[in-house]
Amino acid sequence: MKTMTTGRRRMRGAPWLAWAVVALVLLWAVAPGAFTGHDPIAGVPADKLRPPGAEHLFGTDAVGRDVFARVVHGSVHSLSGALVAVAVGLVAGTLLGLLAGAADGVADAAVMRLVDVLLSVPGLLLALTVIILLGPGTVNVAIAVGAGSVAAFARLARAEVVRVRRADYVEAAFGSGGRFPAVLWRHILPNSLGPVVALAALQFGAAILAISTLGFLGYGAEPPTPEWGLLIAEGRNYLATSWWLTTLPGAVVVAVVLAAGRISRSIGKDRP
Amino acid sequence: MTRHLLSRAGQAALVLWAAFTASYVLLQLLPGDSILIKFQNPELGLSPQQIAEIRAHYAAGSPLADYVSTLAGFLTGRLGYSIDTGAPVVERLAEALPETARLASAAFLLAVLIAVAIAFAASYSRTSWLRGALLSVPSLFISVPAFWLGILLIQIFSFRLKLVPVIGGSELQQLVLPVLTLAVPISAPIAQVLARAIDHVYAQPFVPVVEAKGATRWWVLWRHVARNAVLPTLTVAGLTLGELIAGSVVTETVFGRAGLGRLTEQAVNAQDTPVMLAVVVLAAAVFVLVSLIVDVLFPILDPRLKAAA
Amino acid sequence: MSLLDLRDVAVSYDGRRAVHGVSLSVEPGEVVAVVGESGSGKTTTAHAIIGLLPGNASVDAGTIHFGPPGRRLDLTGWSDRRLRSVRGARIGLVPQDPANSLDPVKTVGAQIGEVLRVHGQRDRRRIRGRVLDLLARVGLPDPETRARQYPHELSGGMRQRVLIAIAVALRPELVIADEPTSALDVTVQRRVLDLIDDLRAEYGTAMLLVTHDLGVAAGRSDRLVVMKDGRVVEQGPTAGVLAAPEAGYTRRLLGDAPALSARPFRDPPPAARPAITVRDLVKEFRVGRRAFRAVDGVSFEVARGTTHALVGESGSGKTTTARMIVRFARPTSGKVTIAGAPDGRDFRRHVQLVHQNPYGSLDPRQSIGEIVAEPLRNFGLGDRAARRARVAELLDRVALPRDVLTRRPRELSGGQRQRVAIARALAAGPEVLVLDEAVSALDVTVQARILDLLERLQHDLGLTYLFISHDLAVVRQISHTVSVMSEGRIVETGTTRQVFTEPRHDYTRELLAAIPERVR
Repeated sequence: MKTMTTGRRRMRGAPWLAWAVVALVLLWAVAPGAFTGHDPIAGVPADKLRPPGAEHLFGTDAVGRDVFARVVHGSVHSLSGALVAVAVGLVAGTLLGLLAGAADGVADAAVMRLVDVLLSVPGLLLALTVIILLGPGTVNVAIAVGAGSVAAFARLARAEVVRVRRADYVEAAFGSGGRFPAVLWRHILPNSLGPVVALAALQFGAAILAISTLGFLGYGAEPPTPEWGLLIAEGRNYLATSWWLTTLPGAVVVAVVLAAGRISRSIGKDRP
Repeated sequence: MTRHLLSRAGQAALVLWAAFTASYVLLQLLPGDSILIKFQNPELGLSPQQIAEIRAHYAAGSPLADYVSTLAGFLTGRLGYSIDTGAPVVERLAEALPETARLASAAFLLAVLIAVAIAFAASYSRTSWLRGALLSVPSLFISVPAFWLGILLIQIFSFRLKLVPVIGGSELQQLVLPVLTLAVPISAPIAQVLARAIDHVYAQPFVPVVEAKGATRWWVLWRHVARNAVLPTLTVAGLTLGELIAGSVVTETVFGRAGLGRLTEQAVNAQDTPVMLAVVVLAAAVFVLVSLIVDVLFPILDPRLKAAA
Repeated sequence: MSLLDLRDVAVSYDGRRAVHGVSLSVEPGEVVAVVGESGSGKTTTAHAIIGLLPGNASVDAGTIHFGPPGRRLDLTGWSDRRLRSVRGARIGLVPQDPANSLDPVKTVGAQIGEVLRVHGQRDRRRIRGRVLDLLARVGLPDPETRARQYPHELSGGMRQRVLIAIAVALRPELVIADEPTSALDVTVQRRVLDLIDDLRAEYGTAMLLVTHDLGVAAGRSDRLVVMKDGRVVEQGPTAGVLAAPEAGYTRRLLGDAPALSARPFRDPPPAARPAITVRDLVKEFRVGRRAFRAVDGVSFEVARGTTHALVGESGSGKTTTARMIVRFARPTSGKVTIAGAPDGRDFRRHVQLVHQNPYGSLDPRQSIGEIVAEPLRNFGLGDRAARRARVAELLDRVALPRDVLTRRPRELSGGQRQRVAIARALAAGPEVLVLDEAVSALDVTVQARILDLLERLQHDLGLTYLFISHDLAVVRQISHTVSVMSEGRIVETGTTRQVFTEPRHDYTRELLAAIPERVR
């Protein structure tokens, strides 16, 4: 109670900066040509390893490709991968959670034990297992990352449904003669989805992180695709001389993930 | 109390068994027999008969018999043979484990220190901008790709400041940057939960009662608030222990260290399913064991749970 | 010279004034009661004295003087650091909510001893001895055991005794008691108030008693300060203010407080047919391996068009009984008959429940119009236009303005929300309304309006009410007949007049003894 209130108030403001970052990166993915005139794949050998400047915002790499152009063109891989990952986790996890929360008893216990099992294996190891199974590749990586977030969605969805189901207003809705589907649709779902949407935003950022990690380890897209993780991995060989090859693409990843987290928190707070 | 303990231990064993079974099934679904991929290479010049012998050596028989024998093997400490090198998996694990254990335990300690420092400083600071700044540190930490952080640290401390040699250097010097890389992302969830728990406890009605006794801010924070906020934090700290194994994959790759993470990476590249299975089960075992310990600790730290248990 | 002197104290939250220039004083050994409804600023004023305001609050103006002549302190603008020497040692605090006012992970003994340690006691054995003395003094049997126990092992009344022990441990000159008994059952409330009186007399401590309950204030204070919207509207000797209130608001407060206004009994009409018949109702819950009987063979009848009250303290089984009657819980055995009520879903057209907490029972995402129309939609009553007309009519019935239709529950006051809940309950045209502590969370003036509304609706629509309450004064005002419940059983049933004037059971007598004189 003490001293906290003012701090919270300050955090309240609309996260316009975060939305702006996400919007910019979305635009990069949709229309990369509007942001850079350089080719992300074909380099100009004469221009290799130039530090950042007016001509090359993020500098150039060892074969003379513009790093900024590669980051802009690479956004589509990270974003679409993250979307697929979140979709997998959201759909599978929320359905599992709803099932568990709505049908207590044996089904609930069974689903929650399954979630325990999923939680017991760290996300990256689960993703690597899926990659052994499906092989490397952008889509496979996305599915692998999504599989890792199923447990989190399932847990949250179940907790929300259980919380809302106990609410007086749900009992009052049954008391007003409501049938289960109507009460579920009118009262339980709208009141339990907010935190799930917030988690989806958070997982979007986490998925971008995980995808770039797997890309860095070499399980994502094949070179010369400008995937963000791969980009940073390629820059590792020039650490001593060309800092920009790794630092600047990484900073873009951090910015996007931070923005997703910030948006998630603002959604989580927006409760009536 | 003992009843509760036994049932919790039973549940833990069940989860571990299910994790083993699920990863086993998943890894057996492998399209293309990994043994065939490896040994059918014409350069090796093996006859089909020899391949069949190798398969028998790796115990590829009926699926159920395979499963049962693998499970029995795991229960007795025989984890099979690596497809990649042919060495027993136990040996490979034993080789890799000490390096990673040293790295992970140091990183975990550092992560807890960072988290406690951030959460306490935030809740003790009176100025709201300082508090806000401190509280946004964990969100930053959690948004940084670990591999990039590692690279950045190498760049700054090895290449710019030349504080840590890139190659060579003492044991300690070699450990500093990887530990930091592994600790930073793991400290974030602990700091977030601890800070939130501290906020939550401060909102409890018993806090003004302690203040009304004339207690100082530090007295309230240390003797009451921290004591109550430890409980939820413990759970999260336990959860992150499992993440340390996953985090070591990235850290060891970036810093070129040997260990469990490196072993995992090699296993994925070579589709070495026995090694991967062992690593996954090991991670699950660590997770399950730590949750069990946390569960047992809880009633000791919170007297309210003694009655419930 | 007075012990405590507040002059024109103003407090604001985030720059918004909550307390506007309050002046009051407390003489040594005197009890001053500050009464007011929620939002009147009474708790803020009390907490401002010892500087225990939330971080977003600030004292903007005024002076606070404390102490006898010679040791007089000007507390105005003191830092936290300086106030610490006064807190606990010279001014004690008894808080509102005994359930959460003790640290759950420390023993009771440690928490009493803490106030001694904070103020410089170091000798462990002396602290321990003093803790045991205090526990015995506040009437807790077996202090040795109590000192080792944790708060959750004690009942609400026992916890409040521990908090009192903390407040008086260093024999302060003043105790600030902030709603000290509001969360307790009436019989416990009385014993705790008696204890406070005894200790005060023994130590000569003055007390600032903050309460919303005029009954408590009337019985326990020397002087009365009435607050409304952050201002003092009237103050004076308690007997004088009660006998001849000067401010209009005080008169309204006194008129509305069921505890102080002895209205005539409502006698039941002769020979009405029963609308609700309850026979041998039993509800068992499993607690571990044992079965616990929450309701143990309850039988009663409610005549059509009358109000029957089910009275009892917490844990008496009254709410469980109500839930079985509205079919939200299944009886273990026994039978509930509601005359003319169909089975299946249509049962809910006939019988409706109004919850205790009006905020919790309204979906925060829906508009008031949608909430009130919900039963009509569920039962398919009327087309869109007919439903709209019916909602408007219902809002008129519960005296809500039309413009609330598009608002959300959080934009309404507590009383308005309860009106919405009542309108929704009436929508499908029920004959029986079960009201579970439906006015308990409301301020007295709001409570009085809702009780009037319920009475009018019963008269106009011929409704039958089952009224669940812990508040005898309210029950006396609204009900025709009463059943008194204790530990799952009905100990006494009769007309309200009989039960209040000629109680036959000891428990009923004890309950009645706990409410102020004028109602009995």
